[in-house]
Amino acid sequence: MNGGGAPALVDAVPVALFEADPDMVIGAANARMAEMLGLPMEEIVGRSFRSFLTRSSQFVYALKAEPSLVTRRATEETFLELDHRDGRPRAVLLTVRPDADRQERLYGALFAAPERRAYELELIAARRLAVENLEALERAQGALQDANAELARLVDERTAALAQRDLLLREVYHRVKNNLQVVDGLLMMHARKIRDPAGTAAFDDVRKRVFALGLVHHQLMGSADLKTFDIGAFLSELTMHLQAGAPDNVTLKIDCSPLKVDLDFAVPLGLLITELVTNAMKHAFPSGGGEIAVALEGPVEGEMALRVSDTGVGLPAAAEDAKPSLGLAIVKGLVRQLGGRIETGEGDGVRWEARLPAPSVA
Amino acid sequence: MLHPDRVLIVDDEFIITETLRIYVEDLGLEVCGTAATADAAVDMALAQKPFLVLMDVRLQGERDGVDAALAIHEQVGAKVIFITGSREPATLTRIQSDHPAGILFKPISEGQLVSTIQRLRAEASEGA
Repeated sequence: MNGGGAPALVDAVPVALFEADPDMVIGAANARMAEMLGLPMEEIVGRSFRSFLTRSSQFVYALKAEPSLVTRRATEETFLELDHRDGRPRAVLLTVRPDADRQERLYGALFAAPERRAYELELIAARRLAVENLEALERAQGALQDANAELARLVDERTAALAQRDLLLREVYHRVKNNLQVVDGLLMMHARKIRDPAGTAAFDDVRKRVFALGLVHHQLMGSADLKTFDIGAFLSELTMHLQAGAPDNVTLKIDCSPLKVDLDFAVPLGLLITELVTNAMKHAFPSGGGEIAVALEGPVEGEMALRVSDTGVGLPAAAEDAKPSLGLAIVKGLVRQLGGRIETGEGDGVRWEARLPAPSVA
Repeated sequence: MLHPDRVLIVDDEFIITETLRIYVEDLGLEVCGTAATADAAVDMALAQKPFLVLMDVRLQGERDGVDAALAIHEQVGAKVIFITGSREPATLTRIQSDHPAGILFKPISEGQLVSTIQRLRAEASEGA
């Protein structure tokens, strides 16, 4: 090793160089090697390479370098620590190759790698961080899955509760309608036993009111939320029914824009329209026919306008002084219940106009 | 051969069957019986051969009006007007698949029933 053409170079390069036998017993070394170990040359030659390593590096060497040294007589860049005499280990990279002609002779080099240790520690720290992040991610995903499962369970529970509620509500509306049909039947049977025309007419009025109530429940049953429905569909069914009970020469017109309403608005409104229309049928056309028009407009500035007008003979002059009719009392009461006001005026016939606060339905 | 003036009424509510009976008799038709269960309705329809059955959907017993109407349609051939308090889509779908001659929703009015029956009688006499 000290022979050859450039002995100064061999000792000057910042690399420890050595020659060893297949058992990695050192045959020769350069000055840099002695420096890296803090040992005189005579304590280097003849010793096993392994004996220059720290205890932990001896394990690494046995694991990472020796297998390939046995099979290939070579190793590449194995990171090791030399057990320097001053007690501070020196980090190095070991590379060994066999002589090209004589396989039993090995040449080795040790590159000082002081940064390598810090780099490896950084790498380990980075890996640990990555693992921790991964674990945190897995925990978060687990928590998310748990939360999702809990949410799904809650949704199922609520859905079941809602379905149960819907079932019960439908059952109630069904029974209400059936009971109103029974009430209607009883009224009809009673009415047929009465000979007095005024009595029969009174029963008929009551039956119309009962029918209006039944129709509200019929609308509710058909609505998706079982709470609200379109007033337009309700009123056109209601007027169709009232038309069926009217003389052939009296026509009933309805004009209503779509509006979502609930029971609290529809029941009194349906009864109100029933009263006003029934009243017009009774008094507007003593001889001959005409038209009754129902219009519900709005909401404009929170108010609905209900107009029921006819083309009949108008109010009798004595109407103000006469004993107030039940129908009129019902009309006034229902308008009050709805929080509105009602006026009557005359055009061709009688014209009722009610202003009602618009229903607040979500 | 079905009796063109006979009507069978199926409902488990007495006041309702009697209400319908009055409406039907006012039209000059004969009510050949009333039934409160699906089985009784089928038996009565087989024995009396009415041209028309007024059928409630919910009945006493296991089978409902849709079951009874299907059997009557197949075995007797009578027309069936369903009179129901339900608006449930599932029920309506079953009714629709059951050859309904009409569907009326409770509470029904005399006018609705009368015009439906008159339409069916007119169709029947045109077909005859």
